[in-house]
Amino acid sequence: MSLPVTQAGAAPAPHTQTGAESGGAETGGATASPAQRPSLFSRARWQGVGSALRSPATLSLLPLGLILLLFFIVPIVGMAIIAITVTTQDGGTGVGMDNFLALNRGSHSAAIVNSVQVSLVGSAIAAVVGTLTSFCIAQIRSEKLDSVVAVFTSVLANDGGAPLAFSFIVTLGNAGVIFGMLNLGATGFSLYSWQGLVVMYQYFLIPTMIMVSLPTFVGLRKEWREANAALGGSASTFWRRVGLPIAAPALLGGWILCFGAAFATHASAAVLIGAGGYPLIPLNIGDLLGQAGDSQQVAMALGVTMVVIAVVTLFAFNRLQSRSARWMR
Amino acid sequence: MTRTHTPKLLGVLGVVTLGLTACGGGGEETEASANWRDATSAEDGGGMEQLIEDAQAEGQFNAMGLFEDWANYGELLEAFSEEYGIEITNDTSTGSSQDLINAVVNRQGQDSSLDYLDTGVSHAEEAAEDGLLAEYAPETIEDIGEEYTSESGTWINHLGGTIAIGCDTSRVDDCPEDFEDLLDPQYSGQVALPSSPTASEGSFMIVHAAAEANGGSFDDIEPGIEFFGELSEMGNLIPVEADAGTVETGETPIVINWDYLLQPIADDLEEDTGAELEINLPEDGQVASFYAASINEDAPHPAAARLFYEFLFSDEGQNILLEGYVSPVRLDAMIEDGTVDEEALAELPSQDGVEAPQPTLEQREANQAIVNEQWDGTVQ
Repeated sequence: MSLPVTQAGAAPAPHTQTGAESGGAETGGATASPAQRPSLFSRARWQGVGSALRSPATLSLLPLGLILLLFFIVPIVGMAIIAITVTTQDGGTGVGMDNFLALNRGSHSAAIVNSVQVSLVGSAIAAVVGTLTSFCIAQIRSEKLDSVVAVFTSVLANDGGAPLAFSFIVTLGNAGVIFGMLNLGATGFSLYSWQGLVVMYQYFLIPTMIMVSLPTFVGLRKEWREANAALGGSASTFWRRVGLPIAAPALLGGWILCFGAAFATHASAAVLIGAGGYPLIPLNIGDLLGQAGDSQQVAMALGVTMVVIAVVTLFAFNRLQSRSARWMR
Repeated sequence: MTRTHTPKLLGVLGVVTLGLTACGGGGEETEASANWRDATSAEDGGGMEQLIEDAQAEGQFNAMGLFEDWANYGELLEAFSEEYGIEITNDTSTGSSQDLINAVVNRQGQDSSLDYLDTGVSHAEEAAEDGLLAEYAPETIEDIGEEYTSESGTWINHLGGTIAIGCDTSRVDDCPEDFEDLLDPQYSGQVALPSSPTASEGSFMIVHAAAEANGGSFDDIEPGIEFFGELSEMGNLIPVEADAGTVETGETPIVINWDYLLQPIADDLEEDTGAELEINLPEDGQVASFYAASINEDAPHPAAARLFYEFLFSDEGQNILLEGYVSPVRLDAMIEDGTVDEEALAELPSQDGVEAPQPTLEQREANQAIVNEQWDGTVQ
């Protein structure tokens, strides 16, 4: 990121500037070459930081930084702090893992397993179906269609919540229109099970996957196919050696996005199965937050666990992505 | 020059706006308000006239989660506001007991804190133990039995109801009248609860009622959990959170809930589809439960808070609640005095809503732990 320099190479002023001074129009990016880098405690070094902080580019990032700080970093840190806070015998507070140990009681461990299972299965199905759909749409090679799909998928990808659950109840529930028409009762299908959740999630997961993967398929250049054909490659060689390796990072990215979306779904799951015995992490956190007593702290511990699972998943996918990206070099 | 100034200004503006919206503290309290903060009754604070005068001087009243169609709170707040000219702020973005308590804790000393709370009894007791609630008795306290007031004098049961079974007669030929009936295979996939008993007071009390119906008691709730386990296993119980919408679409023709919550659903159903929702009080498992009204110790408008409390427990306030199909706590006394609204009383789903037993605080606490532990494992 380059800073717009107004006074080219302004020499560092001999007095220290504080960031609070906002009268001057000094916005020179002080540049000290690495060879003669001032020591950590010298004024000159910090002055460089000060003026960099006052540069318009940095200032324009401030609002976003503040929002990130207030609505992302502070809550996460707060959640972690509450999660490790325990009430001691004498009524004081201490640090401990009791809230995490409490996750072994009741249905929380089942909720963790269920959430991971539903999210993995749901996102895998969406990844496959979405990829194939994108591929087919890309083959049509119509720019108009591509832009219409882009609009539709971005709307559907963000569709969810209670209305989504209700629309599925009306169509695929026990008294649902489609359920009755196709006589799904005979097949043993029930919307009120984890399979039902997976089906319901597809409504926003598949569009999410299409939204992410379509530009990649559209972006595969005709010249590459021609080059592949000219070198005697077949269509399958092309996909194996060129197409899929190029698309892989985007497809993996789409998959993890779907995993995350399914993992964090609360409202639609609550309406569909909230009263029954299929615990999920978001449902359990919701329950705990509504209970009196130490449950709030256990809820935070469960929240931290959720973050850890999400981060580990992200990391695993990242490794996969960088492996697949090696083809690109 | 200007080129570099603009973004800087924008940045500063952004920060300043954020800063301004992030704070809002309380001003200095008037002497009159401070006097009411410590008053434990109208008499103690200088009489009813004085209370009205000081509440009107404050002119504001803050509450949270008092949904308009819930126990007729909409009309109650409107009547209070009109009668005394006090402006009401009622945040209905959330209504769970814990959210109300959290608001009181998080807004200590702020003008936006809550004056009055309506919570479940367990939450009220815990808030009282944490010193969050003010001690205050309304003028009509004589009419209210000891079992409906807290020992600390901080919260009072103001309204309640009885667990009932609602059934859409247009979809079910033979409506279940008690818990035992629900086990009939003809109700396959038709029975639902309003939400999980691990999270909601209503469903938690339903499990109490089911325990009673199946050889358990308030001291032995497990038979209730097992009953729903069996109901779920045979396919009669579906895990949908039942509400007016799922009843109307026929997804949950049989719902168990408070009688006063079923009655508005019945009204809606009749209005929209002409179908009748039959409401039966199960003979084999009867549980009543009352919610608790309390005043925030740290209320930003201490006089208005107490005036609302007086209004809530007055004949007028209790009759307005009665129109919302709940049993107001002074119902028996008002029937005796002839001050009850006879029309509203006739509409009440259960004429003796106050008669059914309710679990004690200790029983609730012990049972909540058992339900939280076992519900999800048993009901699959």
